[in-house]
Amino acid sequence: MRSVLPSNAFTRAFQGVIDALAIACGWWLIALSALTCVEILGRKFFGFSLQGVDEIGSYTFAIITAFGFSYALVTAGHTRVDFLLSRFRPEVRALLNAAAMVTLAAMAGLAAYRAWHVLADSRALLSTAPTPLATPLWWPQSIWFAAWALFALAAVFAAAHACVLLAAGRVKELNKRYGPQTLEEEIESEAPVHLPPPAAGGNGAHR
Amino acid sequence: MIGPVEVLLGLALMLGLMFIGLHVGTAMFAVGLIGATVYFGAPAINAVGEQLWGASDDYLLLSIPLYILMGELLVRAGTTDKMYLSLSDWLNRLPGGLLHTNIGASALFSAVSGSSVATAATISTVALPAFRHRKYDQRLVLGSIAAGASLGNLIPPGIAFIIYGAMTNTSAARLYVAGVIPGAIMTLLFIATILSIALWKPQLAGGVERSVPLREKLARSVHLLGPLVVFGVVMGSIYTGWATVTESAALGVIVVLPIVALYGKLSIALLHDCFRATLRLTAMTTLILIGALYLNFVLAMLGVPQALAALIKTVQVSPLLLMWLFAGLYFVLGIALETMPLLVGTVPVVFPIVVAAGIDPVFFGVFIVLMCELSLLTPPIGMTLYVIQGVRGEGSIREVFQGTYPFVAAMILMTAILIHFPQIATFLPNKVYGP
Repeated sequence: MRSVLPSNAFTRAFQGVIDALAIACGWWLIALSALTCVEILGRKFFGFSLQGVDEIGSYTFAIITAFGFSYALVTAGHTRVDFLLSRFRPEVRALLNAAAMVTLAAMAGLAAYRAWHVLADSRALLSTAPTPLATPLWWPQSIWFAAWALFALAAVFAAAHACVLLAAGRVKELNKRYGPQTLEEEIESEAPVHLPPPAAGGNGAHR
Repeated sequence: MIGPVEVLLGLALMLGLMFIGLHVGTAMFAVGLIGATVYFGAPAINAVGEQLWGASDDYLLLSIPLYILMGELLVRAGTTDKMYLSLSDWLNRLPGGLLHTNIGASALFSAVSGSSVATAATISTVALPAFRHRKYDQRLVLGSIAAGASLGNLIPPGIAFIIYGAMTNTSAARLYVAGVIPGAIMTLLFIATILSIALWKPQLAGGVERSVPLREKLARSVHLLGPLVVFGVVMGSIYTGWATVTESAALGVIVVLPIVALYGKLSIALLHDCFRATLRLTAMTTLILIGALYLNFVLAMLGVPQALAALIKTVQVSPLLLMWLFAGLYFVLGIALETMPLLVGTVPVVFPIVVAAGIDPVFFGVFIVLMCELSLLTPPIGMTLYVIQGVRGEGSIREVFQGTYPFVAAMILMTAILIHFPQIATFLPNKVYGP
């Protein structure tokens, strides 16, 4: 799968961490699904409840998606509309691709900064969830904040890289790395299907 | 309180930002942020963190990654080709032969898969070689695959219903039950489309297929069980009230694992591939969703829903006319936008109007998901069309476009049926859960 970041020892390690976290999130989903089945069967047939599977589930969603943002970022997955974009000249496209990365980084940075305040407030006020578990909210929020911080870091890094490429006039490389994901990338990331090489003179496989 | 002009300006700004290629999530978030800052000043930014936590700390939304994971597991277990063959045993004696299998297999598969891209890619990989030495019109073959793959969100469980439910506080379980009858009618309409083409112009729709002995048919039907069991477990547990929507998705994941093992594909490597795909697709969906939920929050603070509701009350437009106006709007927007931007980009503005006009939110959910399916199928922007062309790897995309036209017509007919007979969406949920 494509990686947007330049290839060096540091980025490879960085992406290794993001990939490992994605896989850990997957295992957690399987574990939580198993717990949920115990909960359903227990409630239906044995009159007991594990209490709080749904609460853990909602923290899970907040946390795994925040980690997923980094994974989708480095694999160029985040959705963009390329209806008009693909019709511009390469130089204009390069500018817009860089602008997309910069605005994404700004959003991620702002979100991470505000997520820090949510965490700090929960700690200061010792907030707990209004549930039977009465979970101190700063527990799940710490992991959630860490995930947003990772996303912000990755996004700022990618945006800086895109700007360097733009300043150096490396239009082709910029469009290749930071353009919207191609059809092949989307298909191969979601199904075990590999496309045939495009036939000579054929059109349409690329938008 | 702001007026309709400002709302339209905001909407135009959002679409403009999307069209110059900003990430869809960023575009929605940015418009929300601009609105909040202009009307409430800089402190409005301070609410961002709480909004993000509030939006993503949601048990219903956990069903999104779980359904995607369930679908990924089924896709990667390689169940599709055998399922396709056994379904063709049952359907290929109809005029139009193997074309019906494209609809049936895609409908069955897309119902349990969270991704229409994955459905279109897998079904094309299986179906296209099967047609190579048969005398069918290529365009119809391609169009029927595209039509089938577009059924995915309408036939529950699907992710679009969850997103609509989360954005409008409509019960996801009700929406799922509401999708059943329209999903079945849509499938039948597609089959009827092929039947009428086959009877009208038999040269387009191949010859008569070989009949398969019943014993063989039944033996091969075992491959239909996988998706049917998953569908039955998920929908059955919701329908009977045993499980909530999210719990049913978790149940689905656990039920799929032994099926993957039976096909001899269960391995750590396969699981990890599924995890990566699941996380990626979930994150892509959620980034847009949280941008939209933030925008929703800002619009509510600005009193936009009330302003739109007041507007709709003064123009005195009938619900029927309003629904047709929406259908036109979505048809036009759907030409240029994919499912997610179309759904989450319009709901914050459209939903208050719907409520003010007294239209049933569950019915409207089915309608908007149907409109999303239509957008998947209408050229020139329809992801599945390009996926099918990509797998095909020869000829021109124009043949795919032409192939979709009869099915687009069938979907427009479905839209008319739904608008004039909203009971087909509301009857079942009202019967199950009470009005």
